[in-house]
Amino acid sequence: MNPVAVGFDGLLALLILFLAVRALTAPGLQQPVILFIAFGLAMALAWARMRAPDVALAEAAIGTGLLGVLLIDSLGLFTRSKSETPPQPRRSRAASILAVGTTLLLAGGLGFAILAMPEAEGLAAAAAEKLGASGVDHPVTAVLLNFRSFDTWLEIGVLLIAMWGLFCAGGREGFAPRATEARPGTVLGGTVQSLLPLVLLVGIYLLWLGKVDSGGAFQAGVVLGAAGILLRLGGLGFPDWLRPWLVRTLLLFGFAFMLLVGLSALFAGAAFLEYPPTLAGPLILAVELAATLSIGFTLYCFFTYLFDLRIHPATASSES
Amino acid sequence: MTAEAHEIYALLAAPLFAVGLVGVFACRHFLKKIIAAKILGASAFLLLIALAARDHGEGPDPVPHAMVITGIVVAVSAAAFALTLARRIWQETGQSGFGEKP
Repeated sequence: MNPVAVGFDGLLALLILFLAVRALTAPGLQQPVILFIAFGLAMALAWARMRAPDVALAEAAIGTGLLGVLLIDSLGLFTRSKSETPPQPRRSRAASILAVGTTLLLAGGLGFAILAMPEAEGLAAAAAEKLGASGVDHPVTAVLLNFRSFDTWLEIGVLLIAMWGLFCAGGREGFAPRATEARPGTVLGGTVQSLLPLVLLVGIYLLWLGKVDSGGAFQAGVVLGAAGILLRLGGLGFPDWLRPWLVRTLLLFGFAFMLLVGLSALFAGAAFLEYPPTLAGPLILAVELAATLSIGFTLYCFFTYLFDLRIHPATASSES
Repeated sequence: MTAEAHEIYALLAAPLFAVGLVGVFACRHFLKKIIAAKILGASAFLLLIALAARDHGEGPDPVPHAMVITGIVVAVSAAAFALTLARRIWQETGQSGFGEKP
């Protein structure tokens, strides 16, 4: 047992807890959002310490990166007319004591339950045994895209439904018409221009890497989505050639492609989304490509839709 | 890495869950409620991975890893939807939390 490692893990755990508490108790909105982003990055470090690099990548890129951008964008909306909002009444002393007491009681009880939890067999052995027939060499990718590909298919479905929900709740279906916006400064524009090829390269590399190591469709999709977000921030709006039908096709593509693959497996006499071992490798790569495209585009649309909505709010005329 | 270190992260999940759960109810602003819900979710992911790592020692279990990656994406989708709802409520009524006087 290495005391330095245990000390580091203990400090990191304390930091994560501190950031979580401060993110919820800090005054205003800006501090909580920044602290939450710091919380996510500390969590990513914790995933890496637990030898879960795939989770660390997903947390840093999606959980913190994308949500952080969305939260910061909302910050501008909620704080724009701060002077007009009436001051909130102070929370009473009894309510604060109740909140702290409940937190401590809940934490103590759960901690006790976690310590008392029996050891489980787990599925690592079963997954390792079948890895050879999965078509890939990285166990996490094998679980995501072969053994439990049904989960992944439905997850892409959740992304699709979320985008649908955004369209409904935002009050405007589709995207704002291309508007003339102020060009970004040379620094931002230049940074986006020089970063973009690198971001695309990293995205495609991550997709390819998923076969043998930590990486894959989600991480690659997020990196590609981030490239789009950078472009949007750099002043390049929704391109004109992205017609509404093309947008819908791109959003649907990953989900529909996996459904087609699954159905063809059914017609071939296998289970839904069951790949024949000889074809598993190429099929997984094709599914990953389709998934990456849709995931990246959906995440890009999450941001672009909310960003456009803030700049050009939906009016009564555009709602019809 | 030793089993004791995994215990640290498994135990961290307990206070994190409590902070997130109380935060969802106690925080007034929608944005803070969303952040609290994300912290709540992160604690569940943490427990899942830490327990899997504790029970296996060498060679991580890929099944909980894949579940958590799926979970992170679903959590962000839900958060993006909640954010859109909160922004719409703010724009339509000027309320930034439940039970506020507009």
